[in-house]
This record gives sequence, structure tokens and C-alpha cells, in this order.
Amino acid sequence: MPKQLDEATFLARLAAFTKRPTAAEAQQLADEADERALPALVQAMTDTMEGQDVFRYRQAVRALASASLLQRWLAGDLEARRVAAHALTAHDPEHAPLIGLALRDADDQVRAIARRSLRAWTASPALHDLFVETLGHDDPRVRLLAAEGLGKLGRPTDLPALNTTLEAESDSPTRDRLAWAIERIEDDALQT
Amino acid sequence: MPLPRLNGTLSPVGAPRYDQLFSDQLVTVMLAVGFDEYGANRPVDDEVEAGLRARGFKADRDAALDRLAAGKRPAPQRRADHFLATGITRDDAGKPVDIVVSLVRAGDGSAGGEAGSAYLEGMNRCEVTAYAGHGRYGTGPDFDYNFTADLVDESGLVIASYSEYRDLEQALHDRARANKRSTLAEYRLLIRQGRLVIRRVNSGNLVVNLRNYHADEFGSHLMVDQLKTDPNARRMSKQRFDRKYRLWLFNGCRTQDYFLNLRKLNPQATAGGLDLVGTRRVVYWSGLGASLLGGLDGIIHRDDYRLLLARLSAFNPDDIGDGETGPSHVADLGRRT
Repeated sequence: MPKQLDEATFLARLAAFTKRPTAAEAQQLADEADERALPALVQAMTDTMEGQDVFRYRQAVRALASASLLQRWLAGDLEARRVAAHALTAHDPEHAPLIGLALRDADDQVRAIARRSLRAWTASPALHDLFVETLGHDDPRVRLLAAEGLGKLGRPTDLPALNTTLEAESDSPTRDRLAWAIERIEDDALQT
Repeated sequence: MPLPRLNGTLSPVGAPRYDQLFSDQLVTVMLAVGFDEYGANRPVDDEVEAGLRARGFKADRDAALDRLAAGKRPAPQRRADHFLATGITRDDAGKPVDIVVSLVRAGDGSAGGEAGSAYLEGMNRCEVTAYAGHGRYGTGPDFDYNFTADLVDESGLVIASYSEYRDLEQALHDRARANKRSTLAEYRLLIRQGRLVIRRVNSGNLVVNLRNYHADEFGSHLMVDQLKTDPNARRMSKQRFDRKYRLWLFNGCRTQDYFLNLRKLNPQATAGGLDLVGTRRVVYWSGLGASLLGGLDGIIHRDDYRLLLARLSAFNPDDIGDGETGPSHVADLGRRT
């Protein structure tokens, strides 16, 4: 959608929104397709706890935060990377490699935010690749979520990687989840 | 017929019973920060600890436990961080009063059951207990994830997975619109078809109330359904409370929803003279750290309830967009003799 507001009006509305956000204004700012609105939209999204506006803020963030924008922000300064990490979603296959990038970030908050995004996903080849890649991540909580994801995706071709990871895994909850994933895939394979 | 409820009042008369709170020149306080699936609780965790230090509280477990023992108060039985401030306020006679704060934080939610237990223990043990976190649509405080929901296709393959109701709501909303159904109807249909498989994670929930006061919001159905059908969910009504005066503050969305059951289902707590402070509208994570510390400041400054509500409301401005305006907090006070 083309930009509707002139520079001064946009900045004034962004300042007003930052001070006092509303869901309706969030969508209008997102429609401006101006990335300067992203930090305020992300702040409003994460700040909102309950009620009718909860996913209107999420929709506004998703509308503005394209994969190419997030890729640039994830290569930016610390503040930009933290904002971008909040906008990542494993429901979008284009975000999968970006989540992988954020999981390797030097900042622990960026990594933590990216890790949480692995808890909710939509199946796609890119997501599968991300789970396989993150089986070898340094953080056992990431490995656990990768194991759980692969178990749910249920591909027998992942059994060798899961077994290899289990042999080397020292974290107890992650070992449990790896074993669960392996058994689930093996059981499914037997039934088909 | 409207559901029964207690709304509390915006203009309470009187003050906390400082004569009882400050007896033996010691007040015990439990502060608890709940959980958010997107990590919004983590800055609050840090803010509250920094705020305690800035007010002169020292993180010293041994000193705090020694002070509790000297004041003939029960020792904490669950894991928490303990802080002590000596002579931080004065009683009626002008004598110095110490405060021991036990701080419980859900953190990343991985030990939510333990955090919930510590909070619950504090509700009985301490004179003042304050929670900051999700209200969970009126069901109760919460210290961990609530569920994982897998959407499966006709052949049983998982095609999407969710761990948070806002996320699931968005997905179901999109499906419902495509199928020309309401989000709730889509949810019910998928459950009936066995295509939405929900695994409960309720160990960190403390169930206060299961009436759905927000039936026009999808998330409320998901929350209430999951807790209603979980025989292992921890219900506040099953907890035993000693008979003594207490003040409980709940800083989360619409926590006045808790009031009726807290009074009705915990008669021994009510009999001791329970004062309740909660919220009458949606609040935001960015105000919760200040609210928790503000409640503590109110006690230190011996606020009456009018001042305490004003202090809390200042940290929780309303949102003109959500139609829920006015002061954030209300009080429902125990009977005065």
C-alpha cells in the first residue's frame, strides 16, 4: 500500500502512538509501510496482555515486518536486532532462516526471543531444515524444541540425526524429548 | 442471567490494618511476577529486583530468615529470593519496622509449578502478597505456559503447533474467516474432529475462578476449557489458610474477577480480615513492575486505600482504544469490627 501520510504527519502520529498506542492506529501505521514504526508496534504487541486488541497488534507487526526488512534489522545494532527478533514467527517459512540467524546472535536476549518463536510453527520444508540445523545448537532448550518439532513432523528420514544427537546429548530434558521424538516417528512408521 | 461477581469499589473507606500488619515491628511481604509466553515478564523481573535494592532492601537470605525467626514468623518452605530492609517504616508508636520481602519470579516458565507453589505458600505465610502478571481471563495467577496445541491434517500429520492462546487465536481466526465461521466455532469443530489436539500445561496455574466473565473473547474459552477439564489443576479453594489479617494485591488484567471466589471459597482467609485489591480493566506489562513496587511503597508510606488505589492507577494509564477507561484498581475490603 502506498504511503498516505506526509513526513511530519507520520512522525507526529508515530510519536502519539508511542506515547499512547491503540490497535486501530497500529494498523494504520503498519499500512504506511515505514519501518520506523516497527519498534513502537513491537512494544505495543508485547505490552498488551489480554483483550480484543491482542492480535490486532500482532497483525500490524506482521504486516509491516517483511522478511527482507527483518533480515536487515537482524544485521543491525543491538536494539534493532531485539526488535526484529520479536517480529519473527515460525509460522512463516520465510522467517525460518532468520530464526536460525537470530539463534546464533551474540546477544542472549535476541537468542532467547528467537528460541521462544520455535514453540509455535507451521510445517514447511524451511522449518524442517531449521529444526535439523538447530539439533546441534549450543543451547539445550533449543535442541529440545528442535527434537520436539522433528518428532511432530514425523519424517523417518530424520531418525539417523535424532539418534546421533541422542547419543551425544547430556541434558536430561532434551534426552527425554529426543527419545520421545524417535519413538513417535518409529511408531508412526510401523503403523503405515 | 449475569454471572455472580464482586466488583470491589473505586472509593474504599479506611486503610490497611497497619496495627496488625506492623505488629512486632515486622512485615512479611511476598512479591510474585508471573509468566508471559513472549518473555514480557523478564524486564519486570529485573525491574522489581532493582526497585527493591533502590529502596534499601538487601538480598540477604540468612539475614532475612534470622529476622523472620526473631519475629516469630514461619520460615519460607519454598524457593524464593529473600530481601530485608531494616527500619524502612514506622509503626503507630514511631518505632522502626522491618520488612522482609520474598520475591518469586516465573522467569522462563520452566519451573512454573515451583514458582506457583512458592507464591501460594507466601499467600498463607505473609501479611502482604502482591502478584504481577497475566490475569488469565479471570481464572487466576499463572507462572508457566498453558498448553501446546497441534493442528493435524486428515492423515494425522501435525501441520502446525501452538503454545500460546494469542497465537492459536490468530491462526483459528484466519481459518474461521476462510470457512465463514466464528473463531470459537472453528475451535469447537476442530476439537470435535480430533484435528486440534491440546496438551495441557497447567502446573503453574493457580485456579481461582472458572466462570467465564469474558465469553466474547476467544482466549477466555480456551483458558477456561483447559482448566475446567484438568483434574490436576491447582485450585485455590483447596488451600488452607491460617486465620490472620492479610492484604492481597493482584496486578493483572481484570483481576476483580477473582474477588468473589477468593471470599467465598476461602472462608478461613476471609475470617481473618482479608483485604483485596485488584484491577477493573486491562493493564499492560510495562506498568506491572511499578505497580508491584508501588504497592510496597503504599505499605511503607502507610497509605490509606484511597491513596493506594491512586498510587497504583498512576502506573496503569488507560488505553483510549480498548474502551476500558478510568482508574485501574479497585478494592474489596474485609469486614471491620
